[in-house]
Amino acid sequence: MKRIADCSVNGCSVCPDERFSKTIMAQSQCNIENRLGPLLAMIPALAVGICFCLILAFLLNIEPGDMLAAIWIGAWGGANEAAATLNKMTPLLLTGLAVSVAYQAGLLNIGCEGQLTLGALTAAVFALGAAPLPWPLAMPLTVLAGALVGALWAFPAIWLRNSRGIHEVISTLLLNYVAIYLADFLVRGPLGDGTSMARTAEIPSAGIWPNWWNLGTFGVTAAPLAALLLSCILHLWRYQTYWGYEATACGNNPVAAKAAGIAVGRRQAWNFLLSGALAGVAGALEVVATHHRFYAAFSPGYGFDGITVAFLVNNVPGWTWLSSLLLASLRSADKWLQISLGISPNTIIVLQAVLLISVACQAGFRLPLSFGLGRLLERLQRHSNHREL
Amino acid sequence: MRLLVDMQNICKRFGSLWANRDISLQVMPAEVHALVGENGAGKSTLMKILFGLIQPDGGSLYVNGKPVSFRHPREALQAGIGMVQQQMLIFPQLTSVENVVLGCEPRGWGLFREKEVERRLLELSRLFGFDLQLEAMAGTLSFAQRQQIELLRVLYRGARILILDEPTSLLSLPEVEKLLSLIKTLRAQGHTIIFISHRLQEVFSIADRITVLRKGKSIGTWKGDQISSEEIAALIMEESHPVSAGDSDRIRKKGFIQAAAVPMRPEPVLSLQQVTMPSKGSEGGLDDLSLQVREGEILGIGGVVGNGQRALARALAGLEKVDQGRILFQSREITGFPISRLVQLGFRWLPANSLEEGALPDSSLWENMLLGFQRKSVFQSWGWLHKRKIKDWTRQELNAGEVVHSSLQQSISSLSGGNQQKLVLSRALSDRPKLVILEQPGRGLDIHAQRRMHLKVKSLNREGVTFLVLSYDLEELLALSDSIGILYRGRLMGLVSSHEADRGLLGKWMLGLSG
Repeated sequence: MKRIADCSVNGCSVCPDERFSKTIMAQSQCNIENRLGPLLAMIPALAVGICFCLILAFLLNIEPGDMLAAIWIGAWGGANEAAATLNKMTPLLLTGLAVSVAYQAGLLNIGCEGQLTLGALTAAVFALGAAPLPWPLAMPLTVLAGALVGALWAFPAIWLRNSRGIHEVISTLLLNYVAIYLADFLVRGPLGDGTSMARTAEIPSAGIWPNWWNLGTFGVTAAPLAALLLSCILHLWRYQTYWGYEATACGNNPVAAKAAGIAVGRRQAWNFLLSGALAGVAGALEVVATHHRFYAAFSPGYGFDGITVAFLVNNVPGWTWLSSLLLASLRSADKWLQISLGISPNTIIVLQAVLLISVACQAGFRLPLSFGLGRLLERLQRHSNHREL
Repeated sequence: MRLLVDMQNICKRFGSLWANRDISLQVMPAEVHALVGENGAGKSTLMKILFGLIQPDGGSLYVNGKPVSFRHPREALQAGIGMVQQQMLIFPQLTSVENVVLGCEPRGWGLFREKEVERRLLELSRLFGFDLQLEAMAGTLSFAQRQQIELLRVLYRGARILILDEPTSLLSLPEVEKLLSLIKTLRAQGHTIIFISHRLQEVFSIADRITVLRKGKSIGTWKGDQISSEEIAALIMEESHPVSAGDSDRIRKKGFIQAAAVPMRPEPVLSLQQVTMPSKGSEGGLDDLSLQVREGEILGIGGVVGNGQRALARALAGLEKVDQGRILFQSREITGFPISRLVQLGFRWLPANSLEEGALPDSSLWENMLLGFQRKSVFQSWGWLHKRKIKDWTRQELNAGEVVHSSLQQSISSLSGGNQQKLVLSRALSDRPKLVILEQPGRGLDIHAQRRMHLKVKSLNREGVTFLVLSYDLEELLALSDSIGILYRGRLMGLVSSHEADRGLLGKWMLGLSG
């Protein structure tokens, strides 16, 4: 195996190609769209995450059952907790969609945090300025304004990539800081509400999304539903239309896509702008549905969590609700962990990182998993492949 | 006379393929020993064994009369053997000096003693007549100068036996002259050079002795002044092409190959006018190439690897822009057209590495079939894909193309290489294109599949599809094409109809000998 790889690297002319492609074949995973595909990434990661919790409980001398129960109660223990979890789910779902749309075209957008921040600020400012508008106009336009600015903030990254070859990971990462501090500066100065707090004034009621479900004290707006609807639309767009197909092709093999006449750069750019717009929508919905104004640093890292959300379900938009629900549950359970068990809420962030790493290491986990869970999952996958025929 | 290197009965297998089979090679001190043979004859493998990059399956190796076995190039270097590989292995961001000494830097007090290195390199350069800019970034240097870096690298490490694997394939003519005189200087200083080349003129201008390899076996060793280049060319080609011209006529009559039924029209459908492209990586470019493909013909372009076939394919597929010259299609200029326009005009390209350049490795079979056709009105309305229609059509095409598969939903990388190739070929031929560029179409196909492919190409050709076949396999070109041209250093050596094609002549053209 090693020798074959060696000699193909050295361009040895005697190696038949058959062998080389077999090596590729052995290495490549079957990432085919099927019913169970996205879960195959998530289940092993969850298993690792639970193991991590158990080890942590052991080290801290806590009953493992208590720890898992605390997470459950913190997230779903009562009406207030459930409402908070659902409200946290909205931005996570949307940033998760943003990351997966970019990744579909082979790009990694880790600038969601900045796009989300500026989207939120724009939405707040627009809602304040559009006070005279009636609500049927004000509500959608506010969200659209957020989307537009999110896309605008993604534009320099994709433009630099296509024209100068600068990697989008670097530029989006750095643009986050620019966005966050720009927003901070603006709400402390020209766009602030005049108090010493770094925030805008409260938006007029015409722009605020009313509660749709009076769950607990705070209730839930239609925002989670809107996000869910968007994820369904994106799922259909990705798998049922030729635009989605072309974007996937660009992400899968840009050389082949280009040779087939697809304008790879343009396709990628559109997907990337869409990604920025989705992150902007996430920010705008936070303003109109949850906070009703813009606070500096209101986001506890939703933009970065979007990466975990997307990769937990293998970047399949239709399954993002599941991973965002999981992450939202963990996020809202962190306080309860501290109250009931005295564990730092930051533990949840560590747990989240463990989940992401274990998803990223899927290929590496294949071997040890092949004894038990992995083999079972592979069999399931094969089974569902055959059923498709 | 004492032998410097003595390789005896070296064997090496890759799977079922014998790369080297009982090869023996004796090299004398201070000689230039040329190793010639077709692609895949086993030259590079043999030299990689001598340099310790590959371990032989059998045979023994003596250097200076002592039995040795190298497990790593480091050990070969210690024994005084250095190799300059076909691809230039340089670090573009480091200077020439750094590139040369990387891995054995002289250190003092933990610091890199650059001055000392420079002094030694200047000495070496003067001794052998290099003209290297030592302070320049290696990435900015020409191929010839990068090669000097590689040569210096092995000389700096004290190698006395130099293996040069096709050192001239990327050089221009004056650069080749220079390299050859450098080799002569090295020989005069007592170095021994093993020289691999496809270009017989170069071989005859410097080699003391010549060893011919064919299909993993050694045919024999001759002194350079005792054999002519025609005889060597015959030895290289002879047995590997057992079908003589007469046999090929017989096959023609059996119906396996039929002459084009459509009478060939004289006007060219595609013409290249003085097209020039730079060489890239280990691939040669095009040099003032003019070529005409007539409507309804199958034109085969052959030649040794690296003489510009790939550049030609990429230029015609629209993947790379040409430096100079014009490309005309049906008397319309199409130079610099975007690929989507070319695809609309009816250009199709079958790449040599179907999985890497023509397929979506993580996607399913039907998604791979759809690539390029996703906007056809049969398969979509208002952007919405008709998956059932696409799958039905895919199933039909895959069965017609004899692609062995278990499900339309399986990923293309789970197919064998031959089946991947068949799928990409079926896709390229599925919608009556105007001009198809086939790059090594038989690669990875078994004999049966090759015949099916040839029949399909022939039948489409009778319906008016023009083909340009680029292949390194002369047999394939003879079986498939109406006329054959040979590229040598990015130029067309000549063009003959395949009825009149004489293997000897084509072989000479491939090696750069005209007439």
